[in-house]
Amino acid sequence: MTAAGLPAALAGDAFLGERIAHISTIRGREPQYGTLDPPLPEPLEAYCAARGIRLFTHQCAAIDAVRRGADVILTTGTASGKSLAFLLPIFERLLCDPGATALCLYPAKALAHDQLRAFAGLEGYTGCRAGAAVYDGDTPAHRRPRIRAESKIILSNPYELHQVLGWHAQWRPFLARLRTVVIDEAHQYRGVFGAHVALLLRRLMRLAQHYGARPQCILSTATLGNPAEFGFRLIGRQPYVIDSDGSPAGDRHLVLVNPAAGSGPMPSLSRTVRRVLQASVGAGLQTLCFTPSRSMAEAVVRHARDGCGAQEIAAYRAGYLPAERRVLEQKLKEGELTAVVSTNALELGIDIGSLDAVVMAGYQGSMMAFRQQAGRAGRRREASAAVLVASDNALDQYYMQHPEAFSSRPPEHAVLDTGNPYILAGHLLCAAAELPLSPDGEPALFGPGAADAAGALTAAGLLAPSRKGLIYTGRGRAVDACPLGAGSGEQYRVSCGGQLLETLDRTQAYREAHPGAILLHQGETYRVTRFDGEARAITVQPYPTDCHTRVLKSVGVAIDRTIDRRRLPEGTLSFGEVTITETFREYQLRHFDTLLESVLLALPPVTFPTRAFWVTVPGAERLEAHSCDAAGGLHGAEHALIGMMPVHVLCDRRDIGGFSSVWHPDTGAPTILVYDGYEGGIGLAEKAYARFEAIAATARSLIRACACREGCPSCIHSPQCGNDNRPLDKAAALMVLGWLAGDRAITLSEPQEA
Amino acid sequence: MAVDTLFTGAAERWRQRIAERREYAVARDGNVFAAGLAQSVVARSEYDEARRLHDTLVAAHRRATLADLFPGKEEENAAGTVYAVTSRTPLAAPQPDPAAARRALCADLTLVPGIGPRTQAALHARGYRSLHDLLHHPRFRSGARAVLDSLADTDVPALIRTVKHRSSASHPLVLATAAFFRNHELVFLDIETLGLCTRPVILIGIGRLSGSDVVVTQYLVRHASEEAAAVLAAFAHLEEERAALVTFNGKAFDMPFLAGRAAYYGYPPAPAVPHYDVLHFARRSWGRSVPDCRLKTLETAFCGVRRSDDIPSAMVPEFFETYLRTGNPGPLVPVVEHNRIDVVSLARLFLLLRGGP
Repeated sequence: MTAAGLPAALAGDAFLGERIAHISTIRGREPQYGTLDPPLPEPLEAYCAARGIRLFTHQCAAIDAVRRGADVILTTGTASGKSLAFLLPIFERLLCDPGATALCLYPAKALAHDQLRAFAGLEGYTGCRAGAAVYDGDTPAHRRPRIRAESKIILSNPYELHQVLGWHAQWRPFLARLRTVVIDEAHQYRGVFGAHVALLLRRLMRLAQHYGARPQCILSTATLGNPAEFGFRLIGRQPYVIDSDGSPAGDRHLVLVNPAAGSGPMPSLSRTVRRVLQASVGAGLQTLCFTPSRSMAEAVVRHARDGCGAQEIAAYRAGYLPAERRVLEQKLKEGELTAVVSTNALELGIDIGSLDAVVMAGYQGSMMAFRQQAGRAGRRREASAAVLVASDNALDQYYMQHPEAFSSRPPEHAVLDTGNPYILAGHLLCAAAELPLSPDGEPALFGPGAADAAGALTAAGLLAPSRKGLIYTGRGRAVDACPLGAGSGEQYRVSCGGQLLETLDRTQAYREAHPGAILLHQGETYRVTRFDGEARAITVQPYPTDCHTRVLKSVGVAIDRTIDRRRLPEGTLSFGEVTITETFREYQLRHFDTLLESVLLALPPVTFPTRAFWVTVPGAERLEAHSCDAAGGLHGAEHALIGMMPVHVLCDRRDIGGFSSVWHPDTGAPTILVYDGYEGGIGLAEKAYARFEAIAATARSLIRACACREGCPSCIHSPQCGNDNRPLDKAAALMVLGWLAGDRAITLSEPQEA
Repeated sequence: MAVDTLFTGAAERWRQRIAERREYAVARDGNVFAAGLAQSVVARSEYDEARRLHDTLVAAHRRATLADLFPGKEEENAAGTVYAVTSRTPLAAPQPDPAAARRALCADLTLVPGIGPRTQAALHARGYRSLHDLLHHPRFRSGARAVLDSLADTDVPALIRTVKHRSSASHPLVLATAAFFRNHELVFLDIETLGLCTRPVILIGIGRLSGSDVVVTQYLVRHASEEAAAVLAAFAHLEEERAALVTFNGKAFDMPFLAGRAAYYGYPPAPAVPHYDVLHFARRSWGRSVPDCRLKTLETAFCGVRRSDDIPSAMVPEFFETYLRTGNPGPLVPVVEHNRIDVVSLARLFLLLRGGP
């Protein structure tokens, strides 16, 4: 059976048939080929001819633009041949100028390793000695000098680049000839992480300039709503946008499945996903399945294997050791595996060849991610199928009720703010440790705030003047003080019989490998027998069982210090320091949906200090007087405020967290609190505090203009709500925002300050 | 909030965050497992003792200036001003015997490409005892000629390359080439830094043999802005005609570090002169007879040196920071002394390994 038959097969299934909410088909399109003038150099022409490659219009446009010297951003679909569009111009350049070098940045190590094969293939065919090599945290020390000295193409990731720039003297030959910088999967670099990467790229450009080079940037990204603006913010120069896709596609079938529909007790998400996966595998389709959590991936594999009786289904996720992952990737490519169940680790564009169908457990919250995942199916001109199984989250349920809104939803905008004072200051410290920094902060690279930031850092004693410029004088290495990610770096090691199974970060360890937990690894069950928090060592034993454990968590917010406060039309707005506490208080032992036992845990709570703004509003009675749900109103207003923060603060909504309560002990009033999701805070709540009225006004306009009756993903639903978007009350939320915003009316179309 | 307060706030939070950083862990005495961590580790007793010393020094030198404790003079160069502290320590250093070195090099037939230990034994049996004899050998004539030419020109870099290529960089014949330098041409170098990489160097000690003394000149960076001048001052010693460099682990640490700092300020690296890294020769000669090859272990074992009031290297940055922050030079006393002894011990160990005539 081809993928075209899958919707009908699902509809014919007794269990799934009555749960199908929507089936639609996007018709395929014919390829559009382009021509290059002048044509590619002979070895590259021969390479394309030998592989039966004819260049599509967007690939030709990219090569033309690179030849003109322009920076480029490519936003065509998954599997449209974006890699070839930057591989060819890099090699064309190398053939003309054998000394030219190129740096390719990927957001994940595995991705760089996979792409290396494509580079090696071109090298082998054309005889062009580029010595393409991966240079990352896993590269052994003894291989590094040779790669630096001899490789013309280096594949790496932002974390490694951050560490490496301080050693630029060793990289001089490479940097002095650096002609091309490729930033693949650029859409990953948004929000706070995006600001870090954007400033890291400024530091790279600064060192290249120092050694006399001015590299061009080629960005490759998933479909975005604002590629030109995003590209400009990321690299600081206006890239040429290439967004019309010339690659062919087969018919794409979309099926929405809702476990909540149908008769009988509602099946779990995991069970429904497993049924879809079995149907797809049963139809002979090579299938990729995405789940929101590691444990669900493992559970789906375990039960799907029972149904199919085959070892052709495997789990794939980031926690596996590199060697394990490589084996799975290889088996998938070679067709030895029929299905792979993954968390989002695989979403990062690993080239695993053609797949027929994709099954997604729950909507990930952005169309960007949905399109990336769905695009994994249908790499050739054959039909493909994407099946989205809804979770019981209100957002998913909304789309099940309104499938037409789902199909027509535009891609999101990606934003980042290189002017964030805190992040900018951190990277200026790194820059000053790499080369003395001009006292004006080098605004051409680091933006208009750089002079003020450099001045403040000098006043704080972290930078000091010298004849050559400002130099870093803080303790330790600047790049260690200013890490790119938020990660605590605390890694827990899980071992069984003295052998390392996997490593987990602290939150994962508490959630999945707490004392007594049943841990799933590669479809096998283990029980945690020892949990040593101090040594970060977890010991497990094989433990065959059908049961699973689920940990219960409560989140608390304590307000530690109010830094600033002001009156709102009705209510008070404060900004200050808070402590977020996550307590993993007990776990439940379950056999499917049956609760067998609840066990209290004695784990220390995970706490982190951060900064927040919070509003208190007059008594909840006023809402209840209008027969509104006070908690639903506050919760809805919180979501709308968070939803609009990216517009005014230029962050990603994943960077912030929220909390609302009809009575908070530290304020003694109904409270909405929004905090930075990074230890110590990162300036987002601070900026939102300053612009609060505008945010509240946009949030209110948004809800008011939304045609829905009870709230929808376009207004008060949040894709990352920890309480399943419950309770929510749209009318009450509108009333609360009215109190906060007063009479000011700001619409979305008003230009925002950058 | 105004923009400047935003940046002031951000800078202040960075200041706090960076001030809280610790570059080493304090472990209880005898905890050998702690050493396995990536971070460097200081034993509890050493840490407590060093902190006590720090506080005593701060109290004792509250009113002192740097010049009071370390009489020295300012030097000017292209990069600015640097403060130089000079001291003399008696050290008997006989001049080397270059003729003996020549004989040793000539006697090693394996320096010629194509000759291994077995071929050498065969050649010995046939009467070829030296490179000069090989000039009459049909096959090895040109190879022997090349080595002898280098010897005739006293081309030390070429000789070192030959030995390294045929054997290893720690071969005794590499050390033997040091005999081609007069004592006063040797430059002993050791640096103190604020960290392992991309951090400033704060003290560069240079030792020069003079008569029956070793003269140690220490370029002390009184403020970060003097670092570039200190680096250039040290490099100036290597720019003298026929200079040779002697370090302890300098191939892996000191020289790449200084090259990085020079590049940071946009200056070229030090001139490439013959470089004798004592660590490598010590490992080869003494590695089996001592528990480890740290400078402190070797100086105690072979030179009878015992240090008092020494502080763990990992704690040097915080002692220096006290001086930078408060201007109190007291905590610099053990740092400067530590570096001075390092240079003197380096010279002693080198002379021991090189051997007398």
